[in-house]
Amino acid sequence: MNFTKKPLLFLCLLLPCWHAQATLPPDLMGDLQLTPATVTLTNVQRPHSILVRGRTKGGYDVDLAIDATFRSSDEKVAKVDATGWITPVANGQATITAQAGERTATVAVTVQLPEKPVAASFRQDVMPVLSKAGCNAGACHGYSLGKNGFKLSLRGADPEKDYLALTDEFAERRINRSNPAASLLLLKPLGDLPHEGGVRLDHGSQMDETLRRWIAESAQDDAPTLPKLVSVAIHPAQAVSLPKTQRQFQLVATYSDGSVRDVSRTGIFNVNIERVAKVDDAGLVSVTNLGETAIVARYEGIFAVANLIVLPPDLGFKPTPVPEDNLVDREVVRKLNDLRIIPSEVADDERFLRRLSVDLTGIQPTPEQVLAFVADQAPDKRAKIIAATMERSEFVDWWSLKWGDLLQNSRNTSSDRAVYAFREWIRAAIARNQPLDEFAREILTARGSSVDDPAAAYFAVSKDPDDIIQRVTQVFCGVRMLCARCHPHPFEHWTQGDYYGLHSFFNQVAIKPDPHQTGVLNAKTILLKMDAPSSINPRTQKAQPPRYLGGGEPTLPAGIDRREEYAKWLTAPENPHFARSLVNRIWSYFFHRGIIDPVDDLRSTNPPINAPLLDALTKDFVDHKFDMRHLMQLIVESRTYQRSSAPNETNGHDDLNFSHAIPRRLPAEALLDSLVQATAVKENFGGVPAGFTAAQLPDGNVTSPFLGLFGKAQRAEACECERDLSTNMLQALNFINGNSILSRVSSPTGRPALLLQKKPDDNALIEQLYLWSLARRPTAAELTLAAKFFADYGEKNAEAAQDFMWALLNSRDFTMLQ
Amino acid sequence: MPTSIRFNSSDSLARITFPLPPFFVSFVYFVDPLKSLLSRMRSFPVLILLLILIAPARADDVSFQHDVWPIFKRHCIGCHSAQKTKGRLRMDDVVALLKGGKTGPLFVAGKPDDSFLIEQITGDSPEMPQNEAPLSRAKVKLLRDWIAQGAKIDGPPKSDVPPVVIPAIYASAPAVSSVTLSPDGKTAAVACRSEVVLFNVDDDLAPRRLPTDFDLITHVEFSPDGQRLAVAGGSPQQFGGLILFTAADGKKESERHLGTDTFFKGNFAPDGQTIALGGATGAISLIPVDEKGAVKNIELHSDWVTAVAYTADGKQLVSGSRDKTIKISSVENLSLLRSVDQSTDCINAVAADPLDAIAGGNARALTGYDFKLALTGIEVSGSGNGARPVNNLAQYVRPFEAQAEAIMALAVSADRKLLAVATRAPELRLYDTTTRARKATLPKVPAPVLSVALNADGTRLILGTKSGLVQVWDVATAKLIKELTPVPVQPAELAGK
Repeated sequence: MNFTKKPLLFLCLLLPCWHAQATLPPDLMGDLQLTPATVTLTNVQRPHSILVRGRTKGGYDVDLAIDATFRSSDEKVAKVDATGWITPVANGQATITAQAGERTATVAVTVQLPEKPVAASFRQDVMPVLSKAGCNAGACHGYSLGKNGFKLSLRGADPEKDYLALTDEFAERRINRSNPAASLLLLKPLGDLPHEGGVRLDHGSQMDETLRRWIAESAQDDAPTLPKLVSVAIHPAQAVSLPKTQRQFQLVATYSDGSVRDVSRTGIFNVNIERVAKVDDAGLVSVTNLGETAIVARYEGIFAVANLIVLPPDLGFKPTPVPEDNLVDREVVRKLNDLRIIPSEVADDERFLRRLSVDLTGIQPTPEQVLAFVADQAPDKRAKIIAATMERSEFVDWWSLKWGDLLQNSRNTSSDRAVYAFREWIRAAIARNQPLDEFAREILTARGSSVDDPAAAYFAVSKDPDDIIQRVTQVFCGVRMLCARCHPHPFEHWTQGDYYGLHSFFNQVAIKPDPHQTGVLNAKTILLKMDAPSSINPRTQKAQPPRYLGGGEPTLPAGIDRREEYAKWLTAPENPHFARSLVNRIWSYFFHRGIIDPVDDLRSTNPPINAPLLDALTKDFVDHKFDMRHLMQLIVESRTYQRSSAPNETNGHDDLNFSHAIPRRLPAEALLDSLVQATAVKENFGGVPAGFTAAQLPDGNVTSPFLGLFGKAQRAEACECERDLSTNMLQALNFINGNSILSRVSSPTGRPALLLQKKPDDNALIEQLYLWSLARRPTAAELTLAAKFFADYGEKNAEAAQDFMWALLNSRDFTMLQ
Repeated sequence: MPTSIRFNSSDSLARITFPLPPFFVSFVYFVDPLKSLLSRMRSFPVLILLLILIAPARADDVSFQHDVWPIFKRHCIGCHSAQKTKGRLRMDDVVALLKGGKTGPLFVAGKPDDSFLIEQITGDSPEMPQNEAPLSRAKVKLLRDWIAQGAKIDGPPKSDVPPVVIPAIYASAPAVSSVTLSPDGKTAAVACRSEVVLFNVDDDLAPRRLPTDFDLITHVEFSPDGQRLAVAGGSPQQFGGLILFTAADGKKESERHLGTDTFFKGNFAPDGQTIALGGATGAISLIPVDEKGAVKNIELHSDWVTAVAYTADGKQLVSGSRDKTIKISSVENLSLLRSVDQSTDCINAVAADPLDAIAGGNARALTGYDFKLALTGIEVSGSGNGARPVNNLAQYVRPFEAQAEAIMALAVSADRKLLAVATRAPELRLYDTTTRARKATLPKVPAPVLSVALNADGTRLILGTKSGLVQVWDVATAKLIKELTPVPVQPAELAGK
């Protein structure tokens, strides 16, 4: 219900001089926009709302419903109330006119009522109320054991069972058809009898009325012919708004017979970013702050998402010309223009090179590399250094480490031999830039022991098909399926049918001890039970044939490796998950977030921050045959990647749309390897061959307090969140007081000592220390300050150099990519 | 400026969504006290004057019944009532409210700042209401004012539960939740929601309707001598009740209200002096027919006791529960003897033949348990309520043939040799309890069947269905003698608007 009108009318009565009508925005342009433009109403119990919107010259969408008046051309056919809700009266045609200021617009209404009035439907009317009132929530009667002896299916997944729970248990204890008001189903949630779940319905509310009417109409079950809910749409799908405004969203359900129904009052609304806006029970959004958020609406397990952008008042914004030479820049700048944000300039050569080097190879550049790059006068020197960096051996180390994390290669679950074999297998794939579709197919169909197929170690990690499903979908689709194992996914339309459909693809896998390595810890071999039948869906107790994620159920011959079919489907160019999730994931390694974030929680309720960007990158990635290096090159060559972290007047508040670089902490291995390179003092890891860098480690199973402290992934889960990139006090204390830095800079073979052997003058020494520590030269001001520092130490040159390097390595310029 | 006040339709408290000028802020916070004023002053212009002139007026005297109780009702009694008495506190009863909970009295009249109630509902994150948004400032102020003004009780808490209504003509037939036949099989009584209907099997005289003040009757049964009719049930989440009628003239002999929820099914003791009823607290209540006799309870289940049956000698009780267990208890000692089995789902019906306890429920298994073997030796585990037989289940279990659907009710003849089984399936099966072989099948009964009963010699059977039909069958010939909808029904037209 749109509440806004009532109090205003009330105020009007109180203060006759008070104008109820707010003034329309003066720069309104064009016609009023009414949603829907035409509508067919088929049920007197199902009114339909009208959204009245206008657009200002400044490009803002304005909700004008509160300022509008409504009238019907024929009250005998359709009535309209002051808030714009249309109720059908009798068959015929009517026109509803909305007027705001001088402007008018119309909705063409067709009323087609059935001959006999339609009874309330259990599935279409009652179930949505149970969801909206929260009855079937996980903490309430949707809990697996119910609450207080009354159990409903979680979020209304199983209407058949819920119907019986309400109407059939214990001699119709919960409803009284002859005396609806005496039904427990009403008395408890209304609070008229003690209800531990609190008051969930208000007397006289629409929800109360719906339940009451359904009981009074004898609490009928639905006929099997009842049209099914097909889709739910939210209007407007996109809106640009000023802060401190309100706007109504409309939720419309479409059924299998083509009929539509306004479910704005029974849908469940949420905003993803509450700092930007809040939403009430009926889809009225109060916009508070600048920014952007998704408005997520749920109705009977189906989700619809709208995008809300909140911009400051327009003060003469001049859009940035959209670059056409790089698709990343093209889409990012387009979006920034929509947001009235000017992107920051590109970073200088030294900062660019450090960022590039750390992101692509996991180590900062050496002084030699920095100076050569700075000295290079070629206009395309950035493109050249990008190509060169991708050819370095550290590139293979770094991306093999990433894939090792994602595929969870670890001695905790595989034998020593299998881990090294899989590590080599991954390294070879990265080194020859194996297309990622082929890479995924080989992994997903691997079998045998590490001797037969090193990639089989991927399956050795899992204890059962459930674990395999979670890993496969999270890594290669960016989708989390665990919820759907026991109940419908709370934020996506995945059901147990979808889950067990996947299960049936992977339930042939059997993990057995490796006969090649008898008695060796964690030595496993992957066998296939070719005759394994489809898995049983515990809800229906029926076999669920293989079903692609969000796709169909293929007819598969018996006796095949079903994983092959899955892998083929997954890596097909048109697959909606694979390329998109990988592109998003790889993007996130070069920025502070994915285009969708978290990168392994893709779902319709977590929309991309820039959908055209993700679409364009995905298409390009598929067009280039899943070429990972090409994708990376496209990203790092963009100005978007190369932007400075210094904000300008327009983009300081933006931390989502890549308008400027957001400083990121170096990952654990990059930090350690850069520290080792800067100080020339190696780190000794236990349990791996001597000389391994942090990026070359085979797994997380090494003794290194440093890597642990800085969040190296332990490879126990397939979640990207396992790698901790946060900063904390312990890390700072370790840098300040711990041996990681102190013992290195003061070592007789450490960098300060090595530099001093050449007896450089103070300025040269300072520049070298800056280059080794921060991969850049000091600024003039820094040089002056540093020279004074060295002068203060007098003859104690060695001590000065050590202390100075200690200070540089403790600065944000070292730990962060600025 | 975009200002809007939104009213929550039920509690009439204004919420502000956007900053308002100070005048409106004070206006908003005075809406609630003023609302009570409004209800007493019909004159709208006066209200306007009041609003404008004396908006920041002193709060009017706060009424417990009109102002305080609605707050308690909405926010407190879910956990602090007769049904759930968390912190040993009841707020739905004046005496209990004044007594307070386990930490003592709730309030000190005249001193809101020293009152535990106020302490609990205020502060940065108020303790109460638990897991809910804190009370609005207006509501807290109201409670403070009430205590400051002496915490006077001007009337008892008002119930909003509607009274029992028995329609002259029903729009749809109520489910027949329980049925019984007189020992001679000539008179039948059936439960239709809030009323019992008595009728003669062998003639078409108009049935006799006996109204009750129960929302839901769960059990009707003629006493073994046929003199009395027991009617048990109550109103869900309100009270349990038992009414005894004289069978001959339908006169009410006595009525008792007990506990806070309905009884479920029960059984007369063979001597007809006591009726055992399953209850919502997990206890079996033994209620003497003598109105003055004391009620005894056997606490033994962890959830509703859905069905109870006496053994032939009247010394033991078989009970089944929503806790999925089947138990045998001693009438003399009022104690659990054995937990004989645990099903995978709710038990709906129990019976006792001379040798076995019999139980069935949603798990569709109809099972007998040999008394002698089950009661030999005992293994006590856990709290002692889990007293399991020493013998293995396999030694004392006596399974019947599988049932196609959930078992809803069981009935035995007086000699306990004939067992009738009502299920959700459209047929009714009869078994010989000695051989556990099926003796007869009554076909095409309107499923699901919720209730069944036999007369003393097992020649007649009555059943009641979910759809509101009652059928009486001749068992020997498997012929339907009579079928009726016990109450007048006329389907209502759907409201056009």
